[in-house]
Amino acid sequence: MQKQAHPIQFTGNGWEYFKIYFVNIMLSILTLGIYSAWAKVRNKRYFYGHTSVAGNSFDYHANPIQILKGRVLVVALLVIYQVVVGFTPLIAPVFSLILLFAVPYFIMRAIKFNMQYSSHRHIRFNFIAEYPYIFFFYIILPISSIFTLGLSYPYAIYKQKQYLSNMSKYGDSYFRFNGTSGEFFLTYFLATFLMIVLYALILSSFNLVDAQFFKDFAEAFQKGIKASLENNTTTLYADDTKTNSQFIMILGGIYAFFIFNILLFSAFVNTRLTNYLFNNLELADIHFSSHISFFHLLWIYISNLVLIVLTMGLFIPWAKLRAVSYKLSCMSLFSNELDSFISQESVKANVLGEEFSDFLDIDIGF
Amino acid sequence: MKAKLFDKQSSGFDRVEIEIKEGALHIKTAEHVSTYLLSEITFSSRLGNMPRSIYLGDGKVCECEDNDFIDKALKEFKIDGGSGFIHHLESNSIYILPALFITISVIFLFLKFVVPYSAEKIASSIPQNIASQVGQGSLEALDKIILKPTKLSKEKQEELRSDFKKMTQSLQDLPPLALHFRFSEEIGPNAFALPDGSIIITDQLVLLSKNNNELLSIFAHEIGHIKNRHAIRMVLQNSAVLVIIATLTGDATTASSVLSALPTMLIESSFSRELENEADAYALFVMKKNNISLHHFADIMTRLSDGYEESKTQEYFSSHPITSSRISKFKD
Repeated sequence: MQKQAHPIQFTGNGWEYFKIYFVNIMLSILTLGIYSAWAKVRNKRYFYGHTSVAGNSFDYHANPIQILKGRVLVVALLVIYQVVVGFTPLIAPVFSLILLFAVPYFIMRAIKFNMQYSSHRHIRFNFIAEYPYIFFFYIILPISSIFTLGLSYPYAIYKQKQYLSNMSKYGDSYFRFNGTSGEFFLTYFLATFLMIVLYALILSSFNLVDAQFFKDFAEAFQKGIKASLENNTTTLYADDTKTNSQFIMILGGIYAFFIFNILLFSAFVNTRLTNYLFNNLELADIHFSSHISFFHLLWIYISNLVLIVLTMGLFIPWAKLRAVSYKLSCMSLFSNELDSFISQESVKANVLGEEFSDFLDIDIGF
Repeated sequence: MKAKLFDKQSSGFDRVEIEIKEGALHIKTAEHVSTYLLSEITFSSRLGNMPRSIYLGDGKVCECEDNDFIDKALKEFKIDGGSGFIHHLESNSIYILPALFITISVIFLFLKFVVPYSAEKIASSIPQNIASQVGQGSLEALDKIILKPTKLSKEKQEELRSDFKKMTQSLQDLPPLALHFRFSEEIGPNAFALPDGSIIITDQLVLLSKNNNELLSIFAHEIGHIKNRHAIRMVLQNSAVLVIIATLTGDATTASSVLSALPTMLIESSFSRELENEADAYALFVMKKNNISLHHFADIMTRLSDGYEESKTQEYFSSHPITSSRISKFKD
């Protein structure tokens, strides 16, 4: 039987979100950052609540107090780190080691937190992960890819996405990711190839035979060291405007090139991996599709960047909305019926020690 | 009014008619009517045009897309519908300009007054032996990259050291000061100070000077940086700027963290110019105390800037105030 297609619809409105975004920032500033937790929830709820499938929207239910607790904890840890390391620098490696073990735990809790408080049709999502797996996929695999000169890095990303998908639930049904690692290797290979071609084009346009460019660059670099010393507060005098202009221009050019590079790379990898992930994802008898176009997304990223600069940041809310709206408009799900998912809500209420785990349900994402 | 009724056990729902009257919510299905007292149910807060959830208390949820209908009923029965005030702010276009204005002025006032004031208070409360550790090793590092041993004669060095000592012996609240001479073609004529009391001056600047009083005026400026703990204050202020910028752009796209580089640079340069003015003011004080005529500082600064006219706009991008405004204060 042919399954019915349900496109994902996004009904957010730029001007409406602009007002919400700036009221959020204003209240966050006036409350010295305390409101930022509420702002985060409203922000997320706006996107979830204006995304719908077959006429039913998503919702986000996190309690801002818990997010605030998470932020206070993170800030406190940072202060402790700064103070302790500031006075006894030798202890820094110990902290790094602790961090190495703590980071996967925080990643796990943050994903769980966000899934648990997300719902569709008033049925919650969930994420049932175990720490050793997260530690293996997020720490051991990426670190060990150093020994393969990064060649096995796509495999680490593949395992992360696979584990994340397969441990995610909607009601009492698990998601299933049926993809293989091949597409991940191909994506990163093509992305790297794209970069190499780009660098080759840029370098050849500088005409390598003529060493003038490198001479200019070396000179500009030396001026850069001079400039950074001069711009140090305690220096007597800065020759800024005379010597720096050349350096700033070259540095600016390199800077712009790197921004373009990052945008290109992330748009390429994001597009391919998101499409692949969704096209190979299943939930009970539902399957998904995603057809984001790389060039369209790259165009959105670049035009967003230009407009944010020209409007001195005022365009940021529109930029966010545009990117999300485009990505969602490329996605659909296919199903015979969407009414048969069973909630686990009643089971959850009986779990012992919920109070304690509730306290640990902190969100660390800023 | 049309609504959906979810039982929260499954993803299915029933289409129902709801009505709010006499302090209660009435839900009509094809078969029967159930009634919930408004005091026993909760409404989700309004946000944009997302559907409103009504939590019925028995685990069921009613969802209604007509926000105005719900708000009217809530108002009529004086029920708090969550963050009504916030929605009021968010949905009225007339508030957006004041909101932007308040946001920008609060950030401005914070950067202009709160950050420098607290940085000064914190920096002055740090004991000297700890303050001295900031930037330790920077002279050694600079010696490797860009500084070479001095080519000045022993006599010239001794002469300057003894003048320096004479000028500084009456100054209070300072770490032990030390004068270092270095040759550097790349840096050219310049001088700088480290928090532990080291003052470094290039041979090029010594050669540019016409008399020792000109150099003493520069030493006085550098001592001003040390005395007022400028290196530490700059570190504190710059980290505050980073935190503020990160808070503002935190949940935006990654690209915006790159974009914030320019405003960060402008703010930090403005902080730096403030501190330069403070050091100049201290130099003024030391020179008057030692009966060194003020024009000496103006003379060497003029020679340094080579008569180059800087414009006011260039100043915004510079870590130092324009020379003409600096020397205008050093007229006898």
